[in-house]
Amino acid sequence: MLDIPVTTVEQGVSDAEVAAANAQPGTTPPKRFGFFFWCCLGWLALIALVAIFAGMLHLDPPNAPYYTPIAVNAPPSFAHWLGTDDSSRDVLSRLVYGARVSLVIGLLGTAIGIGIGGSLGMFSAYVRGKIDAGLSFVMYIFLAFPAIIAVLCILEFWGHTESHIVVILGLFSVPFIYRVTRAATLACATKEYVTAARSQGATARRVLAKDIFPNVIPALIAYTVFTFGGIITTEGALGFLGQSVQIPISSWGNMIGEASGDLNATLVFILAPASALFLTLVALNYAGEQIRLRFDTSEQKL
Amino acid sequence: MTRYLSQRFAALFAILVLISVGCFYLVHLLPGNPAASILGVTATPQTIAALDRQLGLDKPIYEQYFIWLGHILHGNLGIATPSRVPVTTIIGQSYKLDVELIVISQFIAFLIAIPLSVYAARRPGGFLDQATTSTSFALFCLPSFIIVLWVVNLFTIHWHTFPGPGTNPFPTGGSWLSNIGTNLYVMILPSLVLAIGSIAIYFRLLRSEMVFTLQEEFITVARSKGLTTNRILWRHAVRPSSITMLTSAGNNIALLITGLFIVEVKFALPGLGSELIGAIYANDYLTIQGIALVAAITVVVVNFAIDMILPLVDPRIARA
Amino acid sequence: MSTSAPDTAVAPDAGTERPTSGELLEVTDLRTTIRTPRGPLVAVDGVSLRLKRGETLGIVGESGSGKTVLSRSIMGLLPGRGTMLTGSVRFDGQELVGAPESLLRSIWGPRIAMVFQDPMTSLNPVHRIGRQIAETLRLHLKLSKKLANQSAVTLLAQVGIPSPELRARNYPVELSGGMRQRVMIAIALACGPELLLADEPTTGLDVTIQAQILDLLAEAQRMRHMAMIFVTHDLGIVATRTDQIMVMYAGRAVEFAPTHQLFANVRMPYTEALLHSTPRMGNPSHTRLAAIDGRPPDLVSRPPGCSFAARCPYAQDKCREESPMLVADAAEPDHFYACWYPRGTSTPVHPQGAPSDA
Repeated sequence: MLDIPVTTVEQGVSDAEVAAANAQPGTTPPKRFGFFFWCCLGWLALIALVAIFAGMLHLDPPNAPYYTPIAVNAPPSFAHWLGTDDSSRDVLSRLVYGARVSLVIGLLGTAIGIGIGGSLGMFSAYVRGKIDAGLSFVMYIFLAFPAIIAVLCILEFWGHTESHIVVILGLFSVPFIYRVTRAATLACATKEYVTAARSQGATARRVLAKDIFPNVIPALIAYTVFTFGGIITTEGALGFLGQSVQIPISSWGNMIGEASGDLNATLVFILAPASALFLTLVALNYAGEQIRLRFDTSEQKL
Repeated sequence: MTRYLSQRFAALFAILVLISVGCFYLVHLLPGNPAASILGVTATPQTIAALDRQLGLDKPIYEQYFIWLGHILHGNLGIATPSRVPVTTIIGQSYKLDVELIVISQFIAFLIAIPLSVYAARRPGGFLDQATTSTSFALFCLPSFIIVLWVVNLFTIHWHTFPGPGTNPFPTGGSWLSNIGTNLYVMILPSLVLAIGSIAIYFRLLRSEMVFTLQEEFITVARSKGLTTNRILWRHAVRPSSITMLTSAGNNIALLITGLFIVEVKFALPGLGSELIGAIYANDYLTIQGIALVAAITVVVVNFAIDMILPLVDPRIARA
Repeated sequence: MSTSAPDTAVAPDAGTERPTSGELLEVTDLRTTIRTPRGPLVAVDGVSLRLKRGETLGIVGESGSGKTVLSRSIMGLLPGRGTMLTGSVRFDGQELVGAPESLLRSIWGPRIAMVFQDPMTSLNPVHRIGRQIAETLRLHLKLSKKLANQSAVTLLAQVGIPSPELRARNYPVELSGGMRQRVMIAIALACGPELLLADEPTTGLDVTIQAQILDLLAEAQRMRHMAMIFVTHDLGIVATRTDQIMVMYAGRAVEFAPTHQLFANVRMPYTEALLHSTPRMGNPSHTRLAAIDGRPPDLVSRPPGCSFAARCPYAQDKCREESPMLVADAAEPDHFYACWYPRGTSTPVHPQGAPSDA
């Protein structure tokens, strides 16, 4: 028997109650954020605090090797909680400072993506017509182009600095955010209340600011969080390929990359950055998904 | 329908033109001079100028573009600088490998994702649904470069179930049957790694669309006809639900290339990613250009093919 | 989950002669409860009815009165989780409440079929309409693909679709609403059901198409000697096309009578209110329609007394305290109503039982 929710039931009760009666996980927006959502925020807050106050944690310098033979690939100990790597650098310290690099790249890259993609998307959907069609087409091409190739080339020839990585990953997230924002704005701009506001002579700027922007924000918040996760992942992939920030600076990606190339590396050397990255991505994607569901802004629906 | 087709074809043509311009220009964006890098340390201004003339680099840029376009339309992507081998030769073999990886991985992804999402959507919130949804979410959050490490360590180093990195996927000795067998044996593990991310994406999309479709009135009508649950799920619900998944499969190809490069590097497979990194280190502009062009065209053509399939899957598409 | 053919009896057989008279459907004290976060919602509350072969029953009520849930409960089409069905539905002597789905599947299509409200959403958008008709024929009548397709074309012709051979190859998007509803009817009629449930089959259609669809249903019913339950909110539609009418309010039957008796002698104030809210040709132009004020009661926590009391202009204290039973009229033993102070002249006799005991 097919367990499908009752949708065609007529009742002498309100529609909201019918919807609630049919509530199935994954089909209806959650009424409130659950425990796991707050766990995710807690984890994100923790790594953010650790990254910000890394200098006050009295860690060993992350990039300075000791060159003491005993400390090469040492297992976890009281002095080095996560042990040391093949250059006898403190793994915990590298992890903490690596979080700094990964988070800063993620944050600034997302800011660039949201700033450009978000405003272009809203503008495009509001003016419509030829400008909209042209912009959409350009964005479509950028989406189709395998970004990794351009990123690898540009970084190699311009230099693997943090600022280049931020700018490039930020720019390549623009088409994605543009598409989502444009769709959300279009969905809003065709709603009755916007037509009503326009018919009453509201100025374009007022309509955008008062009627459309507040309604696009939930979608934008959710996709900001997803973009953040996406940029961290891409940075990790670049790091893994040795194409992100250069040695000896650590990021989670190049820690994993370095460790995977070293057969003598202890398990914890891979496990630590991999777990940190995985947990951060789970936290970001789960939180983003909950926000998206809460405000019911599925991409297909927009 | 005709309007839909002509729109798609016009878009395809425009995109191909723009991509060719982009790839042509990519080389000019990069610092350094191709002639200088070809000649290496022995270069003098005179020899560079001579080679520029020979390569046509002294002509106006639009003229250079059309000359270049003429070459690539004849299948001539130029000669790779360090090795003096035609770029098409270098790319050809690695492209074949990548196409095979992508095809096998997508086949695996659909084979696993579709039945899982169909049966998960049958009882939203049921045990199977919760188990598959949370697993796919975890896989979705697991970057391919972490997955590849575990898989390589477990299956090739610890258990020796599959051949380790560096095994030639295109053996020449032996009968064609054993060659194909070896090839599949080498390719299955990297394809699986590549498939995992796609499985997570396809599962999430198809499952949520299925849940919506199963609430549609035409599903109740199908039940009232006395059809079995399996027939309703497979014959009546899957097709109208699969549009989002298919569209994302097109977009996914562009993203898959990142994963593809990682898998190639970790499994030491001679694909486009390995070639690209090598070409970047060697300042081999023409190979970089060729790889970018081939990859971009592949993505565009795959998306176009999916656009062509969509109206066959759901007749509402071409009439919207 | 079995994909095999129905394992139980009632194998549809177009060839055998069916009885043309006698009891077909007997519903006794049917109660449908839907689970909600606030508690169980009783959408259908103890409804009983009987239907003979070839007869037509109209079920009338405003939206939210439970008429759609009732028609789906009779068929057993409501999803298993979240809903509970008690009471009895006997179809041709066979109990349907609690029957295994394999049995229901063998009945759905060849013996009971349904025409749905909204033709725009009731057809599968990705299948050609010919195939959607042929599907049931192949499943239940075990026709070959070729024969099923031919029958589908014949059915399309029968429901009045021009150039049926071409139309059979169309997708639903290529058809208008009226055409789609004709296709829906063809699907429902395909296996020659003995009972057709029509759930507001004309509500989603243009007024000009409505009459055509109603005539088509009436014609099909006469030709096939099929019983029909016609669910609608429009008393005008059922007035000339039904043998009996059941008026529903808040999940309960509040008046149940042969059609001519109901219109001749309305007893229940709710039926009266429904009649007054329907425009009539006889009235002078610009006559105000009488709207029924207020809303139906909350079915999760139903107030004591008559469900209609809060909106009833004749309500008295007793109405708000005690719930009236469905009783037979003293003068007309086939006319049942649930009201303490009925309209009209004859006095009620308490209690004489529900129609199932009559």
